[in-house]
Amino acid sequence: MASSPLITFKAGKCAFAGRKVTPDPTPGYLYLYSEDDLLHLCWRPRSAPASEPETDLLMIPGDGSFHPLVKNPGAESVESPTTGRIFVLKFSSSSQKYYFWMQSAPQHKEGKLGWFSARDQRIGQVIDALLQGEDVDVEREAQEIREGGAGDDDDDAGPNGDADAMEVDQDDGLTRQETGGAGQDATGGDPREEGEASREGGADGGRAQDTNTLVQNFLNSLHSTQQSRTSAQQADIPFTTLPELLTTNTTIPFIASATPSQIDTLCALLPPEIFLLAQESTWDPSSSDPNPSPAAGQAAIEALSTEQKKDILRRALRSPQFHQSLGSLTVALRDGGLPMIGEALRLKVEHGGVIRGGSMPLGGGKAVEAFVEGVRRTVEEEEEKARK
Amino acid sequence: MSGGWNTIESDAGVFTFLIESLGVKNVQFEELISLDVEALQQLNPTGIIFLFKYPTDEKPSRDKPLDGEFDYAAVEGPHAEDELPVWFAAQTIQNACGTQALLSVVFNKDRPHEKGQIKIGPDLQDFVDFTSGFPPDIRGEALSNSDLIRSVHNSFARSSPFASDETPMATGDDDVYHFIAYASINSTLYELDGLQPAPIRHSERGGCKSEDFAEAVVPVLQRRIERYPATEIRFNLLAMCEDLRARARDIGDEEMLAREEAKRREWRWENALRRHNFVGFVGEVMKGVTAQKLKEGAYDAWVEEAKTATKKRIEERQKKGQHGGEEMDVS
Repeated sequence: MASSPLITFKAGKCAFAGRKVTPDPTPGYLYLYSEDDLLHLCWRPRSAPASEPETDLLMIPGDGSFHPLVKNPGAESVESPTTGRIFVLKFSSSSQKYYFWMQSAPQHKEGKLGWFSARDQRIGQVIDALLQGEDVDVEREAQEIREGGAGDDDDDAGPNGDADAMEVDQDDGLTRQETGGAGQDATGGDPREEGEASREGGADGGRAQDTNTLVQNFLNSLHSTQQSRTSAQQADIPFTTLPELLTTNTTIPFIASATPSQIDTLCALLPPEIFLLAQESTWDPSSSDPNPSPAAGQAAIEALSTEQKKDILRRALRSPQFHQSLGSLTVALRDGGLPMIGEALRLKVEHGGVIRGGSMPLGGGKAVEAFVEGVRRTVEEEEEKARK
Repeated sequence: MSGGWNTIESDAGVFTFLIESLGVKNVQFEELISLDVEALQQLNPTGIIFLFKYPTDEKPSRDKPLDGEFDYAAVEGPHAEDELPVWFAAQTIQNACGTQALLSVVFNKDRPHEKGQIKIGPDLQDFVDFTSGFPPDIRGEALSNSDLIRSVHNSFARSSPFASDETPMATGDDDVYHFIAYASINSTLYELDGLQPAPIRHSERGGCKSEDFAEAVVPVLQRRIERYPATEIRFNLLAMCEDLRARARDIGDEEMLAREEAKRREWRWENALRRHNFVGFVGEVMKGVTAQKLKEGAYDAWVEEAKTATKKRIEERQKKGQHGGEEMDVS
């Protein structure tokens, strides 16, 4: 069990792929604790208990160093070359590096997001000193940091005063929907997934994006848990599955009779890259960007005729990837995902997908049945409204 | 526990883009439909990745492999002047084994004396340098802990944990799928299997130069495949070779270039769909189809037909003696 941490500050982790450092928006804490005379450097999400850090590094005195990532080493102003304040943890024993970004409110008067205030630097210095094995009176340092630190010119610090950086949230009631307040905007790197940005703009777009991500996270979580079998709490019926409902015999004729507006809606729900690929000529094959901007995707869709769009839709509907997604969505429904999926798709699912009189989600074949019924009800209501 | 690594498909497009995303240049994968020496020689492969269903009752033998010889010295030394130790890592995470097999070829061929030298790029070079002094088991640990490699690997993961029966990666049975690699390293034919204690040598030392690889590896693969009962054959062979577009350009073959470009477009299409979150699309298709069926008065018939198909599938499963009762396979 970890003893009480020596120093803690609000920080997020960063992934790095290639030479690019990408911040992870998850709100977290970076902290050090000492156990049996050994120093540990840890990171955990703020919603996780203190005893379960996601990262727990055993630090040999003198091996690690902790410094701000600066664009102009030796300059007066300590600033990261990004839209956030990044610290880098290095080791003399290996080439491994870890990057963290400060999640406390930035303090620069003009809003320079990569700028380290004296307080920010102080936090880094304390940690570095501890990693060197120096004797640091952490309590006194922490106190000074909280009180604004010597020589800090900023009078107006963030909303919580200087305590913001080091304040440990008592109430870790962060719901999964919080994608990380100031943090998400405060750093470089766009954590949005491809294809979803086109939904942005307007409250509805934003909301659909969150719940889509939630559903995907739910589906991903099915990987690491064992194949769950629905327990026979309710007498189950086999009903049917999405792959058996949405066969190509059903979906292809649907495309033939779909309206242009339906076609456009469907196209907007596919990855924009496939529309750019459709436009790519045989003689200029590398013309399209593997990561097209949503605007480029939209432009590509608009440039195609209805018949061309239908072609692409038909191809997508016949693809093994689509077929697999029908399978995994069925599994998600059977495994208790109905309420969340129903909400993500704004369907009128009976009782919101839970067992009547309770809060347990429906499972098994009953959940798939409720899903199909929910779609039907939604469609019927929409038609009613259209008639009026 | 998957240890944070998701399953990926054994597919030429997936592997090609995966290796490129890790920074490796000028490498491509091609699926081998048959074990034809001439066809393989045409490809001029750098290595072969063999995927098969790993029988859980076949224990990795410690003393002698079923074919070939364990070559501990290839890793530990002593080494000749112009040789480098074989790069070999133990497999620690099941789901990582495809990527691990890829990397074991690539790390062994990124050497000055290996013809057709692959360039692994700075990030993988960092990893190779970092693990250069490690024994195979620690190297395996390092690989499974590599954030870079894991995150790139996972970005190609399929969204469904339950695959359809047509692909070689069908889960739902107790056997596990395993990837191994074959390559000519230090002019010797090696089999690299992370579940074995050492690389397995299939030729005399120095007896299999790169240009002989295709011819030498075919009988070895044939013997391997013959180990399994004919009815149980579920395997996949991918050859690693240079980027065929580059070759087409070099020899001025326009048709081949066009073919290869078309292939890449296919792969990019598949990859775009593979990474895509289909939830919204499925919802819209369901709504559209439902509306159409209601209008046609065919809704009930449509649902009934699907239910009948489900029932039939369950009955057939039960007859075959596979999972009775609770039906989770949704293919």
